[in-house]
Amino acid sequence: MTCDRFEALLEEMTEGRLPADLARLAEEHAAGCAACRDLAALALAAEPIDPGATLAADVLARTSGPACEAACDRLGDLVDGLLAGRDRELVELHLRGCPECDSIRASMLWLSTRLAPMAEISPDARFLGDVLNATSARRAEGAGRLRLWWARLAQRPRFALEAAYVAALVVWLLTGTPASPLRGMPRQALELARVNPIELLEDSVQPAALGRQVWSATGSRVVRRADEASERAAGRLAPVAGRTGLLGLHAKQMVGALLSGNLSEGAARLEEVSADVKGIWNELTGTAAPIDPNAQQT
Amino acid sequence: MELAELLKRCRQGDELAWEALVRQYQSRVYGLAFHFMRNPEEARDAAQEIFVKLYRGLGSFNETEAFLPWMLRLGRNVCLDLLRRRKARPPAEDLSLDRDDGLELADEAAGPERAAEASSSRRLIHRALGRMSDTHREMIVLKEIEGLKLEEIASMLGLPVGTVKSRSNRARLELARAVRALRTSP
Repeated sequence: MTCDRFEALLEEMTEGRLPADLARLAEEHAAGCAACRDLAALALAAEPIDPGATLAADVLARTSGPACEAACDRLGDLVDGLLAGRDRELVELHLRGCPECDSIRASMLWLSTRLAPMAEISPDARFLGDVLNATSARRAEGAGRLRLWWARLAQRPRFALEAAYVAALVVWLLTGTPASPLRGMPRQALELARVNPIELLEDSVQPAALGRQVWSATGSRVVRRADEASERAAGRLAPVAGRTGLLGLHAKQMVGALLSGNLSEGAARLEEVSADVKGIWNELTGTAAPIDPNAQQT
Repeated sequence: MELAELLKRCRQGDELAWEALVRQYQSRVYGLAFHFMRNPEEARDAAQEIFVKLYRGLGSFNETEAFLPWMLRLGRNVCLDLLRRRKARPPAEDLSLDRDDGLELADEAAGPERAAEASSSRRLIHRALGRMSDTHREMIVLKEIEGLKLEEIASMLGLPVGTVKSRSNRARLELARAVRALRTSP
């Protein structure tokens, strides 16, 4: 046995757990090796003494720091049974020495059976009715109800076939039975389809020719009557033309007299203007005899 | 009736199938809303809104996808949207702890003693959840309460699986510490 091998077996040797053959080999080595013999004596003399609960924490505080965070990171897996082997041993070792973390583990265990049942919470008795009212097509109003009904109907897989069947039935009822209100419509539609479009065009020309005949018979008379009316109007206006000339002259004289301050002259011309207006009115309305337009010009 | 058949009938406009679906999931949806909104009234409104969106979205639901994660994702989005619109959030300690606080679980078949203990535990957990950060509370709700897998949560939140796992661990620790503090407080 080598010294390295002896040191490796030292702990088991001091605890009396070494098998008989290995123990004999270790004793033979210690008998021939002073260093190993002293080491064995030292190990046998050092009985374990409890250092108190805080030594490990003090050591950790001065070295790597508390291991609580590392342990808590694994508590979830420990509680769920997902932690095994050395990881599980290390976490449980920490929990045995850390009441704080152990209490957290206890809370986690307590929660593990109580959270899942909280997924379902019963609402009040009116909830179902309110949801159905908000979503049911039966309670939709007016156009919304109709819209929902149509949407549901159109989504039926045989909707196209059913719609075609109904349409054919409606057409037959309207046109195909002896009592149908539109019984003659198919025959008329067929005749219309058979009509020659050129013949239709020629027939449409007849009204235009008729229009020309009517105009040739009546148009000349219309034109002649219009000419006569124009002549009468011109004859009527001729005497008035003389009076309007006088009216313009008298009005100009009146304005000139007033602007020059000759009030008496202005008043006299005003009377003449008034007489001219009255005469024109009477001429137009046919209430006075025509006068010589050259009689009173000055 | 199988869920696939139920969903198929709902998409066809079967009102009875829709009612059955609502009955089957109303506690789940309300529970999700309650854990997010932390107020019975708002949770009720949120739950109703979730069902309305679910009703409208059934046509776009991919049958190859699992229904529960899809529903939870939709519910989460609705709750977060409502939370953003909410102006003030009452502190967790002010929530009522009476029997009308909306924490009556769906399964109350246990005896009176166990029911009382369960009720007390629920309130304790609810108060502890109120002390948590929004991010960690959401993680607890999605993973520990709703039972979603890490991959499903990662997909829902758009995060790597590793991030979700570490966030979940921290959330459990935070909840455990909060529960411990409440249980030991007078």
